[in-house]
Amino acid sequence: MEGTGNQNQNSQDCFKVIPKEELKIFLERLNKEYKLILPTHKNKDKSKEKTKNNELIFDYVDVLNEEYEFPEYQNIRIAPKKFLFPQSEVLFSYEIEGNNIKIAEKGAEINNQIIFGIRNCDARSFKILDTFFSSGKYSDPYYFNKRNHTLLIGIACNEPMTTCFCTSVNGGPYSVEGFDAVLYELPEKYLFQIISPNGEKFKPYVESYSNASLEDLKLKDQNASHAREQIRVSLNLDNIEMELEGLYNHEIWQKIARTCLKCGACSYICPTCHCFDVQEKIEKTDIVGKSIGKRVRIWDTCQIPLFTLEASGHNPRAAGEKRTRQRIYHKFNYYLKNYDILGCVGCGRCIQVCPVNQDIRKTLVKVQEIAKNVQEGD
Amino acid sequence: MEQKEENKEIEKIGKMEEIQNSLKRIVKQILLEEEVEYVLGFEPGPLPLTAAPLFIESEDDIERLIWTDYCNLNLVKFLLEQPHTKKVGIILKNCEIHSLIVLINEKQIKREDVIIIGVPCDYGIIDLNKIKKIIGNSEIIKGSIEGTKIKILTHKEEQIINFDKILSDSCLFCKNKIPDEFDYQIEVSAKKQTPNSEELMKYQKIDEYQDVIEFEAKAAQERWNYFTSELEKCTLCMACRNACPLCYCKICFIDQNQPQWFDKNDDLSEKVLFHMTRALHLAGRCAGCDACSRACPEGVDIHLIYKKLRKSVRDRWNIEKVELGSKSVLGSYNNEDPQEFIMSEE
Amino acid sequence: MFGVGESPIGIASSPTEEDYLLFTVKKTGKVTSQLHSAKIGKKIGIRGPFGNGWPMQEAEGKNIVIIGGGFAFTTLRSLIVFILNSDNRKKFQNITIIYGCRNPGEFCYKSELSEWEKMNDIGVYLTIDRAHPNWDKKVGFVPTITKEVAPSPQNSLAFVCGPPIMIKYTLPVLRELGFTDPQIYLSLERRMKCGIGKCGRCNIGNKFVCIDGPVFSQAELNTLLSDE
Repeated sequence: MEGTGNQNQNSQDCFKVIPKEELKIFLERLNKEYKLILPTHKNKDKSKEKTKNNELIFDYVDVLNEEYEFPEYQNIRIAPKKFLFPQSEVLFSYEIEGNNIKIAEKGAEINNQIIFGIRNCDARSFKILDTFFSSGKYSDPYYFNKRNHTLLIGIACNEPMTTCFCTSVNGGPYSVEGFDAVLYELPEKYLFQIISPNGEKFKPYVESYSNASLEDLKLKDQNASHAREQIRVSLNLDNIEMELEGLYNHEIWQKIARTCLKCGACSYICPTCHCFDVQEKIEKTDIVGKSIGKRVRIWDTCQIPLFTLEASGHNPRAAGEKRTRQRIYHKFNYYLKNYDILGCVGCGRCIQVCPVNQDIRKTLVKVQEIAKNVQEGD
Repeated sequence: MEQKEENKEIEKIGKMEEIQNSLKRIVKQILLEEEVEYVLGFEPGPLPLTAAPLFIESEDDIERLIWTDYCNLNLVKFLLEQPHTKKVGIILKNCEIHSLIVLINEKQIKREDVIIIGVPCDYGIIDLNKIKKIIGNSEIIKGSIEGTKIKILTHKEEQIINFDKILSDSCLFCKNKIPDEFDYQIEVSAKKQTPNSEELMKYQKIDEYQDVIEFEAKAAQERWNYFTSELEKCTLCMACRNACPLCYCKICFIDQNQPQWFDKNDDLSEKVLFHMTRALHLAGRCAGCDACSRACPEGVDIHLIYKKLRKSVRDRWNIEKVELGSKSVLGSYNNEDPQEFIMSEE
Repeated sequence: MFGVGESPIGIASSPTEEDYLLFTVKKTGKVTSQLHSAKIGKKIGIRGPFGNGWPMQEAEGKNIVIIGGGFAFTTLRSLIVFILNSDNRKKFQNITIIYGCRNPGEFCYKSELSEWEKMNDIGVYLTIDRAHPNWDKKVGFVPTITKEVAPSPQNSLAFVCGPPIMIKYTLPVLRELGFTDPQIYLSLERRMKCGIGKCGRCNIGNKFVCIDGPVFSQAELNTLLSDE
């Protein structure tokens, strides 16, 4: 639990002080061994005045050779999911000449990399993706090829957004679940803490820094409670699986679906949505009859009817309410049944992007209200 | 919203509230007197400056109804999705009424099945995407409208932005703000003059297509660069298509897979293919409500594409807007139709 | 099909036919259309097999009622050939086959069907939806014929595969005949892309048809959140 860790985890020598002005040097040292994915301005040729409305994104930054300043942000609008599960990803490519088919597995060498500066919600989204992609008989090599070379250094969330509801889905602004190491931001400095066994790799990088003072730790704990207080919406989702169980055929899905546009905005922005389509692309066909093609997987969304449309014309989820329902059940029922975890990290991104301003928190509240009424009515 | 703070406000708020109150009266009357399944309007959205579609089925729902400068969706879209057994009421602005007219002309909806409650616009609709671009990476914690300015509170600071920077592109230039077709109309008393704003008046004095004219004057490469830099942001989520009431094909060409036109890759060529093809499908039909631009979660500026189409229709056929019962511009033939696109001097 | 895509196809041959794999493919979508226009010798790729099969161990010592419709008969052919194999036949009791198509031309495996019809130890009932001049067998939809044939539920399992509408109306008939839900097995169809439970579209409740199915007992389906 946050702030109630045992003495060992909370002792001063677990927290190393990195002065803010030395963060760049710290990153440079990491960058010698790892590729870095950092929050950075989208428009690279930025002038100082322009940075304010220059969108922040996660991207590869070569801090050794580029001008880089660590920006301030609440959260980055687009989750870093795409670095391990890109919107389109070549599975393999092939060459066809007559009846000769040569398949080239995509064997690109993956460098060790660090995603730096992510919030707890996004770290937990990788835990969910890890669980899903490794589940069952077949583990996903494309995902793990990258995941196994990726370390996560987070920054605890001092200023959650109004749409955040991580504390309702077993996370929290100061939760460290999913991180390999984490930074806590204080006025002049960061406190650095190693979280996972993999995070021990960072030990040599922080050894030279001094230990945190008791004052520092007190300040950190104050920030933690301040951050938690910022999250105004608190849902109790302990029984959500059972609550949904009885509402599968309830009219609520039709009510919610009728104001939904059934676009893919929420799925594409979601850090845990992982459904994909597989497409074939013939790139080049030359006159001699040799063609080069590739098989690609591309993000897909359960919100569009084509997702489940069979060649025969039959579509088990033709009706909009079945698609709206699928999204909620996948995250809040099927995930619990299959893996005993929730499929949502409470980052609130879907609330931010929805063109019709639907709020998943409201949907869950509604579900719980109805479930309660149904139960009492029985 | 923050009622207390907004009460200080002058004419603007008063007028919006007046409209909202008369809308509530009208909706109540319709629910009582006419056989309607529901009336479509807006309720407050979950975030500041957002509104969400509302299906008003009973008197209890009327309380939730709002009317603001950020009722950003074209509700006509929601008429198509549901099978109706009775008449349906709908609250619309003039451009949206014209999109409904297109649907009526195209025999997707019967005029007699819809009760149109027309609301005149004064300035138009706020495009949240434009606000987001101005305030950058912070979120809007509070927002209130003060005359022709908007006050935004972010986590870091308070900002006051002029309407001309954040109004939807079409609204800025629009000169047809009074409903042309309706069953009920909101009338705004002339006494409540809205405050003058030079920035906004400037747009009222120039050609509706001034921005397109300026864009057309740019070099091809510059225009291409603009479109590609905008369209690169597209994630192909289809929010623009799905927000558009005129995109009602049962199977969109983009979803069609026998034959497959579109390989779904998120590369630029596919994005351009999608947007340009969709644009051509809307030529002569697009009513310019800009709901597509406002629906875009990535804030891609696609309005110029559609505005250019509307300008072409005006320039070639002298048609400013589609009238009820008129023939479709591109679907009908007239001896006087300009022919130069078949054989061009260039 | 390289350059076209993949398509999930059930295996129509039985494990007893060791020399080859047989697929019966209806020209329906993009991939199957290309398959149909392919010349002999064309190289294609196969991934699999994925998912489960008919519960053959549970079926041992029991009567088996096989109900199929249209082109969904392919995996049922595999099942029948397996059961009728001389090494296997004695493991199973009475076999009843009810197979319906829209018209006489639509039946798959016509020569095998007529061989099976000649056998004494199995009941074969072929039916078409509407009367046809070249048809002297049963006429009527599969559920109606099932009711008419009325296979006994005693020590029986029913294996059903067909279009959703056939399944929908056959289920109540089987229940009426006394079949309990654990005795009814369905082979279901969904759009699939990966076959390994990752692409996310073929789920019925929390189960994936591609890895947990396609064969489910109706008893299991009852526990899933599904519209079936």
